[in-house]
Amino acid sequence: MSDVSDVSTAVRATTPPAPRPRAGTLVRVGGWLVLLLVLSGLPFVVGPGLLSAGQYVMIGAVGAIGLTLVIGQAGQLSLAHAFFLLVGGTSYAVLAGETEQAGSEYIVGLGLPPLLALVGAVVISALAGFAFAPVAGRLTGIYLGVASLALVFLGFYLGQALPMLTGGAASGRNPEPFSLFGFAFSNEGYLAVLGVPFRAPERLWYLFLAFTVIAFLLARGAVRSRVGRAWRAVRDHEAAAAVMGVDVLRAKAGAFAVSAAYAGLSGVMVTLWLGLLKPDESEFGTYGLNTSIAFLAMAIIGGLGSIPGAVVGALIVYGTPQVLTLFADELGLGDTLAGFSPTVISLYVYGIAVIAVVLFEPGGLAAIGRRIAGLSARRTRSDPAPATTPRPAPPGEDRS
Amino acid sequence: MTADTARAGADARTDRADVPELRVEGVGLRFAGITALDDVSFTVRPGTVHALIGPNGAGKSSCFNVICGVYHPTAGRVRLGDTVLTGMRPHRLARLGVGRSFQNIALSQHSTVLDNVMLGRHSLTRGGFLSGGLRLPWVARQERVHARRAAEICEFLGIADRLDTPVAALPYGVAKLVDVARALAVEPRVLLLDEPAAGLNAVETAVMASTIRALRDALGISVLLVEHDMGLVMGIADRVSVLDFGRLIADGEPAVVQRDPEVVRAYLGAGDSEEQQ
Amino acid sequence: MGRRPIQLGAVTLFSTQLVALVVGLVLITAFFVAFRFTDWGIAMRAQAENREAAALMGIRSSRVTATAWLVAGALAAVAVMFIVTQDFSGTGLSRSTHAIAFAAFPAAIIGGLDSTAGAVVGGVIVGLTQALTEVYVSIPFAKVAVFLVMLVVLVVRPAGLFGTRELSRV
Ligand SMILES: Nc1ncnc2c1ncn2[C@@H]1O[C@H](COP(=O)(O)OP(=O)(O)O)[C@@H](O)[C@H]1O
Ligand SMILES: [Mg+2]
Repeated sequence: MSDVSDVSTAVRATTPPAPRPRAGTLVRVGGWLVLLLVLSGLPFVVGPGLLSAGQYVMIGAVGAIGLTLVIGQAGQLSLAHAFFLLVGGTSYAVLAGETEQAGSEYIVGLGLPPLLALVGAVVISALAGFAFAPVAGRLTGIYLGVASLALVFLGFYLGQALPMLTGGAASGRNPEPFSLFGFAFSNEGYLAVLGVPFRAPERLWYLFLAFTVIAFLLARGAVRSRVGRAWRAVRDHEAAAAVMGVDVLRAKAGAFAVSAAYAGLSGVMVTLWLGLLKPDESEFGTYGLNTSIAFLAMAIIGGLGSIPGAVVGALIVYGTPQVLTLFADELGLGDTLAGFSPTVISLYVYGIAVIAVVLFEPGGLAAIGRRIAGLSARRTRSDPAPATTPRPAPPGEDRS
Repeated sequence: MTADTARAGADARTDRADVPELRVEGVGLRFAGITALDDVSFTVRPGTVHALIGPNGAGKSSCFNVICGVYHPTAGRVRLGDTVLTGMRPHRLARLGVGRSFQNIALSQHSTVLDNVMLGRHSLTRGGFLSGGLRLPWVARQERVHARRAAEICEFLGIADRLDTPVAALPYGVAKLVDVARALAVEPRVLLLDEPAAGLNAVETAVMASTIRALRDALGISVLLVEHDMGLVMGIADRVSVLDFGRLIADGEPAVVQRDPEVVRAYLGAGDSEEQQ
Repeated sequence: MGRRPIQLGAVTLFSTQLVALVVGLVLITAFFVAFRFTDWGIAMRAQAENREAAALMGIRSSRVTATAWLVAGALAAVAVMFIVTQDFSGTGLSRSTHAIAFAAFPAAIIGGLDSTAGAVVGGVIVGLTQALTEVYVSIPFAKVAVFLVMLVVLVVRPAGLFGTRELSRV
């Protein structure tokens, strides 16, 4: 043991140098860059159908990242995700849209620039999440889960009761297409890159890709920083977190707000993707409980707390129905299996996936990924493995 | 921001002259049907090791919880210097320089040692979701400075070689030290240790004893210590308070308290005679 | 089943509804008794209180858990049998019948998850809230009202009306 005077003197050392990146880090960064490159090149290779399916997956990914933060990192069960999707979508439609008489409905709009409307929608969603703080701060576990469920039912009701904002459940309203500095992410104007015409699907693809990358990087950075540590401390031991200086109520409220902001962005993406904001007519719809549960499934399949896991979870949960629909004819899923629509089949797929994760690998795909990475790292490394190997499958591992 | 500025507040804190008295004044605490604490008063004088002992269930941990603001006392109050701690929300105490370790290890099992110890830096650092998410330059610098400090603390406790190990993979004795390291990372002026040597072997206990003594002598901070190992307590404590069924039955120099008939009776009566050694 | 309504004073009932009421009351009483007096009920309550301690006392955790699920499933089946009759849903079994299960959540939560009496009281509160809101406010608002009542209860009593709140010990 070193002498205690070390502690007081070493403190006066100058700022430590920035750590030099190691070979493993370079490989990892390279891998991500290659993936990004491939995704960027996709519109030149695949048709609009698959692109649209991919966009749907990205909608799921953004929402699932937000949910895995609040559930996996901060330990707060939220079933309210679908509600915040609705808040985000509606906010965007109202902020960006025009006031008009659409059919029988008088619809309000502020006519703001789409970028401003987007930011506004995300902020409003975050505030909605924050407003839930008095409840979130008091409840834990299943009580919090069911309490958050109340928001979904509230959203269902408000969606129908406020046609002025939502356009009503019968027809909904058309959101202003997103545009950036005069460039519209729609079919407006002719644009071709390398001979490939860039219409709405191609343009939205890049927009959504940008959203997803930003959402991903922000979450990853935050999880590795002070906020992430505070969240995990609250998740693992509330009293200890408080004693270490974490304002537990604020941390919980913050986690809810961040997750709601992600859901809000996801909701804006949904309206842009559908070209329509339409509140549900029944409890099971775009903003219904089924959506909350689908996001929950993504987070669980990916491994609670893991951000890449959430993305892969979205690929499974939202990708399956899209791909099945696209290839319904090739797969012989035409009209013959009327009861077994792609949606129903994918319900089974991710239902089974969730059960498998819970039974065999509570850490989800993230844990499996870590194990594979650990194996290959051990094989390439020359020095022997550490004497104490970490336990497998930590749910909600900090380094995702 | 340099290490110096990052630690400026903390440096002032560990200055011997700046360590305030911790006064527990007439504290009472009741749970449904149980009186966990009854009119308990004692003072931890600056720069001393003060032991709080008593049979199991005497109310020692409850007393810690009252001091830390985790439990709200039904009577009395706790003061740190001129500041009344009672009624404050618990997270504010860290900033005032109260650090604490837990009887049952209260770490994030799946996070690394460094990550756990860094939690102690929470009130000494800044930054929220966006600044952390964007990894702004000042956040990265702050992170480096404080990670280095956390590493120093771990080195001081002899666990620097485990920084990147998840706590779940550590032997119990090491995890216990991580808990102490995290409490020290707060840069406390008053450090509360709840049974730091419980479950440690003889060698580890001796190391813990010298560590605690070093904290007092080199940093000049006060240590309030709950411990069952009488050898440890009598060896390092400057003062001892004894709780029995929530009441303070003795308070004084270790040698005097040890001979107090009521203390002897409390321990023998509780059937924990081996704890007396 | 007979579609002739039965008149009980000012209250009109279909015979299915009457049967459901009686079956419900019988089951509730049976469970009250079972929870309190049978070994199985005591084992279940012990496990709910403290899983580890119960296991140390020789209670087979896996068996208790399995039977709990079994009973839960059976009770849901009883509920569904009544729900699918025309007198309740008007349409029989549909794809969204399982939405009704979500009415069970607020009931259990309002009462407190670890209390049988709480479940009954919660059920009554949910039923009354829904029925009164349907009559005096609007049918769409009824479901929200139930959840809002639940939120209010939870904010005031975070473990429900009859639930016991766990204080974290450190
Ligand atoms: N959160 C709580 N709820 C109810 N009783 C408690 C709680 N915390 C402590 N107690 C009771 O208070 C008494 C003192 O406990 P504690 O302070 O943990 O004792 P010690 O640390 O001295 O062994 C015990 O009887 C214990 O059961
Ligand atoms: Mg104790």
